[in-house]
Amino acid sequence: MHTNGSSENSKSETNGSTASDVENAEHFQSNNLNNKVTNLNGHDSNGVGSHGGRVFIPPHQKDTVRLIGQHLLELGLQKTVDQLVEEGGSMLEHPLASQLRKSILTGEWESAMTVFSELCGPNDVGVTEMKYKILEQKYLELLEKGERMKALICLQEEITPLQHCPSKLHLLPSYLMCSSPSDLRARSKWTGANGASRQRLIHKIQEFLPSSVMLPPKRLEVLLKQALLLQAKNCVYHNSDFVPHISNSSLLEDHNCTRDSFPTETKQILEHCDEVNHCTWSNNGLYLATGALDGSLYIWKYNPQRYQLVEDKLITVTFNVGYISWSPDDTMICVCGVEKCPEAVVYTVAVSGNSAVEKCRISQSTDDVLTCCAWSPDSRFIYTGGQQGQFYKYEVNSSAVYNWEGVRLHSVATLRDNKTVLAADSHKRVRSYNFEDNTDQTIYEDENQIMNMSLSSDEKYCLLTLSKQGLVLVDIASGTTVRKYFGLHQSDYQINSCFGGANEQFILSGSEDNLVYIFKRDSGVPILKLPGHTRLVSCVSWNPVYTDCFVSGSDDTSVRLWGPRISSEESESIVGTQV
Amino acid sequence: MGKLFLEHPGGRRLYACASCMTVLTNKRSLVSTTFHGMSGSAYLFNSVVNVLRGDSRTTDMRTGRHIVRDVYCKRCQKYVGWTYEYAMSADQRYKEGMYVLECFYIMQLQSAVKD
Repeated sequence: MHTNGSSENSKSETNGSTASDVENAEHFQSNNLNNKVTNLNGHDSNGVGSHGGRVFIPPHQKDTVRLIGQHLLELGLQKTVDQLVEEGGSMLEHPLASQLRKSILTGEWESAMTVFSELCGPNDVGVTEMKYKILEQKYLELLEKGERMKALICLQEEITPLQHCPSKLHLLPSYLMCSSPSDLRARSKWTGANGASRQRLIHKIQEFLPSSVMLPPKRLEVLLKQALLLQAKNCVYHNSDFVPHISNSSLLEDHNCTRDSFPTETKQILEHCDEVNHCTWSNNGLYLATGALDGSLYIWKYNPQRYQLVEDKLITVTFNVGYISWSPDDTMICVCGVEKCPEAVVYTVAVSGNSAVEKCRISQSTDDVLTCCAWSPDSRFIYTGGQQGQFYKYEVNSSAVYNWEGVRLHSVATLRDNKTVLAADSHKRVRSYNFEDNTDQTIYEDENQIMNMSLSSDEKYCLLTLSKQGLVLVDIASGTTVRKYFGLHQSDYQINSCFGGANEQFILSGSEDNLVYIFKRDSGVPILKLPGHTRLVSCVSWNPVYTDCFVSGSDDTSVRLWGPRISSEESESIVGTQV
Repeated sequence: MGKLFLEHPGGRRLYACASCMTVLTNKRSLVSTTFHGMSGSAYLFNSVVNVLRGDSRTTDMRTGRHIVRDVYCKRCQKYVGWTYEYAMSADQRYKEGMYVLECFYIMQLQSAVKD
């Protein structure tokens, strides 16, 4: 049936179409298969060519037709597919492949083995493994049916001669001792003949055989899924966990989030009396702390439904507020000053009333400078320091202080392992410090001073604001630059930046040109420059929980809350009507 | 006006702006003490931080003609000295890129912390 002669015939008949098929087959090592592949077309031309209604399909379209055919077949449109094969003149897959599939699904192992041997030569790489897999399935099914004698014969006469992977082979006889089918399934981690095991075997064979012989399962659906995922990846304003899938999105147009659902609009303006130096959301996303140069510090309560902040507490700090950090349990805040501020204060904010209670004051010496701080993940310790050379680990409850000497800090962050602290210092480095065993190591070195450092929540990356060089994303494990973000104006002032959005896919930063800059994490060019502030934007913070809003603080004494033009419920209903 | 970003040059013996005490450089960077400015004696440093540079101008000095820029404290914007942009004569070229701070406008500080 499959002689070289017929394949030569087909080559001459189906002009050009064999060329691409041969090309396909070249990736496969088997000469034997080459013949089979060309036979696929030989079959068509011989069998279907006699019908009058045949349409010439250009070679590059044949794959598409095969995909459509396979998809229709999965939907159960057998007649349509027959018609398609008849009219288009190309088979969906090699007839032997169809036969192999059928044999495996019905459990006709002899026929499956014969067909498989026919599909590929005995010397092909991996053939033994595939044969072993078919026979292993046969052996297990026999055991499941309780036919131990037949299973033993299969093991001795068919599987052992293959001499495939002795380590696996040793396991098989032990299954003979299984007391019941369920015991067998449990011990061999096998789903049984009625489970998915036959289908899984077919998938393995499909992976092994070239796609020109046997189509990979659900190929069209796989391609469409890929297309949707790529669309979501390229979607600029994609700020949600929504993963497009065939079941939840339309294939008729590209997935595209509109700008309306992205936080681009000022929802509220909060007024301070002096330049706003720092703003930061609590970890639960329900409170915002903003601090200004005049020492006023507000705690705002957030209403995520109405995009509204309501004044909750006003704290009067004795120095200029430069940096605020929420404790991981959101009960306390630590406040640091600017430039030469010698102390830091911890307030308990989880109290009723419109002010907070001062818990403790980190004040060792008037010569100290404490300008940045970070909490340990268990809320027990504060790491704080500054340019004068202090680097304290301060225990909140006992006021015990440990000083790591000789580090001039610019910025500090803690890791969740409860012992490692990352710090940017005056020698243009990011270093990690372990206060437990007193070890330290350099993670990253730059040519410019590091003004600000923030950590991604997976602790794999840190975002650095470099003096006069903008933003840099650094991979912590390898200590290398991943990407630079450019466009923002930044020279002499400390500008704060952060990760944000759903899955932290965005980078947010203030700027000296009064705009708020938003970058997509995997692209260096800003996607948005939001106008609104009238002076330098010094601090930004993206809500870690309600990822459709963020805040920015500026020298124009205001804090702006940014949200989407339409709320998330509205946008969902719009998407709903589109589908 | 925002949170000014100020660097620290490190070291124990520091030189700071006399009017706002912003640290500008340290003893390690001191090259020479034999310079003179409008206000009297001045020191030559090879590196200085936390300064702003003004426009360039050409001046005739005792050692020849130079293109210089005045430097100002970044924090209080007061004049503290100048930096050499270009020296016309070859034997003065070593000064290019260095800073002269006038003693009248700077003060010495002793830092408690060692590097």
